[in-house]
Amino acid sequence: MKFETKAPTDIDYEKEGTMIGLEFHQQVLAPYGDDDLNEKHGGKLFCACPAYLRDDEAHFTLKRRFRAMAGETGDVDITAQFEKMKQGTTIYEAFHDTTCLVELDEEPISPINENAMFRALAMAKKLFKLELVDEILVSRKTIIDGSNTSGFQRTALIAYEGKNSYIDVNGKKIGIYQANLEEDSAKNMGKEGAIKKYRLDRLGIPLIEIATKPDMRTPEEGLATAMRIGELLRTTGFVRRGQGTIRQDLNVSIKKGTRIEIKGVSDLDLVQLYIRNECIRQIRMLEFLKILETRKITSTMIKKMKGKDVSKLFKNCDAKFIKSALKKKHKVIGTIVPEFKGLIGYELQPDYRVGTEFSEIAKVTAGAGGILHSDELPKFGITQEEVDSVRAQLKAGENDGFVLIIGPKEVGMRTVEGLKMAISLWLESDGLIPEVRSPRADGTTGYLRPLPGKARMYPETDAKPISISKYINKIEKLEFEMPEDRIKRYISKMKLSEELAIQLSVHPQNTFFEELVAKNKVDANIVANTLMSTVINLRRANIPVDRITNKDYHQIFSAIGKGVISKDSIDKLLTAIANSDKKTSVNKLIKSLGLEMMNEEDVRETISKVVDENASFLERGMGAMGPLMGKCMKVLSGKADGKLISKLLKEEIQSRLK
Amino acid sequence: MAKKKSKKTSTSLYGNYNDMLKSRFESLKIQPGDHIVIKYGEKNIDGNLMAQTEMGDPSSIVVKLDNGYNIGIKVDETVHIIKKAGSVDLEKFQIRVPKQKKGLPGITLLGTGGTIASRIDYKTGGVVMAMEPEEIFASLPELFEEVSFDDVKSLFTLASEDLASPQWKVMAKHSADAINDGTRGVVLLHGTDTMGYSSAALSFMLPDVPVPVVFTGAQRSSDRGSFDGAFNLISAARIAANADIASVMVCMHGSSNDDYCNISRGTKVRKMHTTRRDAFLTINDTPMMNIDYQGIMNELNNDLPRRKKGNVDPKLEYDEKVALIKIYPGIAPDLMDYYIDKGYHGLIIEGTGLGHVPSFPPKEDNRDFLHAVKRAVDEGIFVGMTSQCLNGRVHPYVYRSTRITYQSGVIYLEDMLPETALIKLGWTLANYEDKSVAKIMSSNLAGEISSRSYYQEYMRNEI
Ligand SMILES: [Zn+2]
Repeated sequence: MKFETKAPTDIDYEKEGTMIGLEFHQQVLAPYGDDDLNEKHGGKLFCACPAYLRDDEAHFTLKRRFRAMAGETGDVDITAQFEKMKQGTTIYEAFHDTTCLVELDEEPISPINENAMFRALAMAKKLFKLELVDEILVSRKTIIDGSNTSGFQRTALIAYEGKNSYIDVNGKKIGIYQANLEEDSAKNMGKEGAIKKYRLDRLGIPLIEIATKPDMRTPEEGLATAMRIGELLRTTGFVRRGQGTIRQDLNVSIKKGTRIEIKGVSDLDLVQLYIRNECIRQIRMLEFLKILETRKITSTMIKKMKGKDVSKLFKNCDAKFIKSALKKKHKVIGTIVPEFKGLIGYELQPDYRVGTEFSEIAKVTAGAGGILHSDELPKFGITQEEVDSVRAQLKAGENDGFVLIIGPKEVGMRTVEGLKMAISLWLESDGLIPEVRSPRADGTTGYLRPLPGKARMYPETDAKPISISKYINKIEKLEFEMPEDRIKRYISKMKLSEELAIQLSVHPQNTFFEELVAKNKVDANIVANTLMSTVINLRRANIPVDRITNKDYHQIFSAIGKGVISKDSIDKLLTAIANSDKKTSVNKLIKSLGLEMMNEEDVRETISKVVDENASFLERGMGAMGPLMGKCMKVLSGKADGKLISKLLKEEIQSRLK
Repeated sequence: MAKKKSKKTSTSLYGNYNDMLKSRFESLKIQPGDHIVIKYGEKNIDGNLMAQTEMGDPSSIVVKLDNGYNIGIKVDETVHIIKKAGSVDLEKFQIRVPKQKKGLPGITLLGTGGTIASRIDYKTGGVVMAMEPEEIFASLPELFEEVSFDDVKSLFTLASEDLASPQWKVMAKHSADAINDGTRGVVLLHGTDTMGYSSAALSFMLPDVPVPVVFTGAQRSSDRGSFDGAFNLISAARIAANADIASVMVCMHGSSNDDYCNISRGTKVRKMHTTRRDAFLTINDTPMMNIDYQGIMNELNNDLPRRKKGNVDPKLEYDEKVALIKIYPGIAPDLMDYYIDKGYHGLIIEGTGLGHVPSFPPKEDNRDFLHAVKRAVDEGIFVGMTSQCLNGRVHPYVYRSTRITYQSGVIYLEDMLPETALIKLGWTLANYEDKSVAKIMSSNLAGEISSRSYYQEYMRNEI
């Protein structure tokens, strides 16, 4: 069978029968307790810890090992079994003050965060017109990749499809069929050797998951839907904002293919590319399976694959990476892949070969850094001679391909097992296998694990069923302003620029913004600029702005509203608060920094002094205004309004010139 | 491979549904697990019926949807329920017990209940104690590479709080029989709450035991990937099979990591945290040894009783007429009178500090507990003194009140744990003559009294 090694870069989505669905996950902003951190960042779903994501060094770490346990139907879940192969140890990074025994899987959960529940229910009902369940039942969803300390994620279905459950995306109805409230997982912090590392600050933050029907037909529609859902959620002020607060799973299928889940896409810019590449992959994979069939490759042949230590053949190899690996007592493990010669370079996605898929399988099943394969060698400093000797040692037939894994021996051996399992699954199943794939930075997707079946859900016994009847009235009364309407109001009533209005309309702090303006009788533009630009600039300058509490903001704007300080002092004051011991009040800081504005008489006196000291400028007549204004600002900046200084200076010069 | 279907649990079929729904289900012959469709108003829900839990709303139907989620739909008598084909058997537990290999050290596994023997009942959503020992170790295939099982038995499936001396006797008897039949060691699966009591009881009931008798359990449920009982059980089995140590012991996590288990003397161990994996601490002693994830044993105590040949002659009698009294400010002396009048044979006091009871309170307060203690001693009741500090030793000479208490005939029990003292007393009263009770209680039989207190034995708050 003839085939093209290169994958196409575009396809006819309609012809292929493309269907796309989204599972949109957004962190919910919902304080559990009333401490400052909870008020500012929101809380977690099942404990009183704040949803406080941190960059500082962990206070302590724990090491855990996971096991596959029998699922609800008695069989060990296929995903769990797959994970078991990895025999992973996991390290958790934790904090004494912002994580507790619940995140550490050392204490049963506290009662559910009622704020989070109310907010999620309200969003499900009001934004997506879903039907709410009457009784919320929390389930445990088995996940033993280490991202949850318990080995499961707590999740509850809170709303399901009703008659009008859809959103309008550029004139097209996109159906919404379900909303869940669940815990976020721990943050992946990479690996320490073969050991996975996670950070517990993110574990347990409430997430609302909105699942659409597979109503999108093109990558463009996929992106537009994702953006609209995000916009709708953000307009409520009920969700957290910032990097990592949104993740979505893309479900992509073509007619002849199968449902593939691309898990955890956080970069909207790549959504279209992931959808395109997945459609291409399904087409290419189907062709690839046909090729395997014509070559008469069977799973029995694949299951005979065996890892062999071929390190000796590389004793005198010039390739640096091999030299340094052998020095570390790592091994070169090789295996033939029967009848695969010339197929490992076959592209499944643009610039993503079967060999790349092998690498991804090696990574997820054995923690291997990567593989080398027969279709790319000799290369990287490995000679034809060495290739030949590997072929000989592995007893490779003329049409056999081979794979080399460089690393600790057991990693190499496990990689071979992983490859065997994956390839034989391809051959044993009729068509494509439903699987979970991970988004790669270049817009392609890599193998992650088989798509888990139903077996992995069972009741969370530490939570009681929750009747939602007491929230119904409150939810019915709630009206969310649509993003479009909010923008209009910000422009017309609050006199914000269009750009600022658009930005703020979908900002999770917009309710806080409005509260600051209303309570402190201060110009909306000052508040908007502070939240949308000053604070962000300070953060970029490594000022720990997260330490500034909502109460601090109120005090700052109250001082501005009352004319105690000038708006020009805001960044100085924010910096001081962020760096303070948090025991000194904002008002005291204003005094100790000398930020209080002067009254008009004192300003006039100061200006008079400045003019005295620089009397020579007066020779320029009114031309002295420019240089003298600069001198005055130096002394008076932050203590008087610029306009006032200018007016008084003008009067002073005029009076002296008389 | 042997297959075995586990026992049905005895929870009521429908759980907490109201009568209307129960009778509706019954007349439609619908059982939990059956595929149903609920039509109620505009709602149309398709899924499998689940039982309602004790805390759930009796008028909500709990349904497992096709995607695995459970939801509750509140209904009244206008609901329309339709039975469909295709039920799921929610109780299907296939147990595949790996084949035993020959030539491996043989141990005996005895189940008593507890979290380690519990799993979720998928019909009710509650935790039930339904696991057979086979079910637990079927998930630990690596165990079968290292040990073989002379016998595996479920003695009972009882929670910690429901176990007492009748069960201790059964545990001790079965352990003794297995030992005398030549097993290399015994592992007992036990609830954690009272594991320390049972380990103390067996420490005395199996005097001079020649092989390891190891209690183990779990602080996390067995359904989860983070189940701590797996590592505890593997470690306990390794100790039972291979450790050169002969004692009744507790084997549980030594830290919050899954890195090592501590092996504590059965008489010196206490559950000191409600939920953490590393809840068990050795008090007033160091652990005998620890064992890491790979099974490497590290002896921590230079005074270990060694494994030896020979049988054990169990002393199983137990006198239940004993009680433990915790002293607190304001304690009423008539509490003491109650036990005396009810004919108790022995009392252990958990005194304050070095072993105090209220001895010289202001007259008008009527709180002279010492007076009541004297009455007990005068009536021939054994009274032993321990400390509610748990850590450290009682001492009768330092203060006037302890001197007087001591002189009134109360026996000060050194650094013995209050719970251990209680059990030792019940056992001593049943197995020895009255005149030797005080002597037996004051001598060390199974590590319960140590002659010296070492600096490193006390766990402090360390941050
Ligand atoms: Zn917490």
